Amino acid sequence: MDENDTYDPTRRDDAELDALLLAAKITGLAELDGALDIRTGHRAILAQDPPRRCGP
Amino acid sequence: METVLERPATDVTLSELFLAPPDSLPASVDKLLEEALGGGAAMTDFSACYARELSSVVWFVMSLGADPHRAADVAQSAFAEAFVVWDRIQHPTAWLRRVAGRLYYRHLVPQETSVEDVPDQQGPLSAAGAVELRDEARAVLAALADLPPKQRQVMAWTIDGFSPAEIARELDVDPATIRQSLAKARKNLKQQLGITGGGHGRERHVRPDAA
Repeated sequence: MDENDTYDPTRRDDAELDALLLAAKITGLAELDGALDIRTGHRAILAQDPPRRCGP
Repeated sequence: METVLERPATDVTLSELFLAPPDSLPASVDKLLEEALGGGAAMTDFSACYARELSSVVWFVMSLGADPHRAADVAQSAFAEAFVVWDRIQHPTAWLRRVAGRLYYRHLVPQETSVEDVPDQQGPLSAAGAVELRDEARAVLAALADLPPKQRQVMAWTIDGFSPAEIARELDVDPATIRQSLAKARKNLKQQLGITGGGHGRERHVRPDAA
């Protein structure tokens, strides 16, 4: 951010924050991918009532 | 002001989403999921969207301040609501985050509330649960958790690639307000994370309770 609090991705501090946020998200998603059981969750939702359809 | 849909009941509990033993699914559903996980299905397909977006929506809710188990519960509920009205959803990624955010804030504030009514004060800190996050991820989540809720909310959307104009549209808030919150959030995050723009050699402040 500059004096006017304007985001500038070419500024080093803004770029560093962006990089850190992205790195945290990438590693976090990798951990979650290993921990979440997608099949169980998916099956639970499909076991609900079927989706309502639009139109007549 | 859009009303949050009632949360449909699902037969999966929070803990079942984590580390549950893999059960076999009917072959057709298995095939659908495999296609989705392999990127062979369009995002307009519910199964493909679920397979590709579940972790991202969980991370989004964690960015709002939820612990991993709560975040998984909220994400699952958002997908359950999405499934019911899937044919009517034009932008699933935004829709899921909007609903997940409302479900999470509804949990924090018992009465029905809108995103505009989110209290602009400190919320409970998130705590790492069964998911073993690395230091950087924990530090970022802890720093996000220290932000006032409105700043945290805007950052969560920003981290997921939404522009201020898009966030404003999704949250039905003035774009100038979003930009202002984003600027404050970024400034606060830099302070909390020890980012000075000095490049190598800076010390990043990792909270002891973030571990």
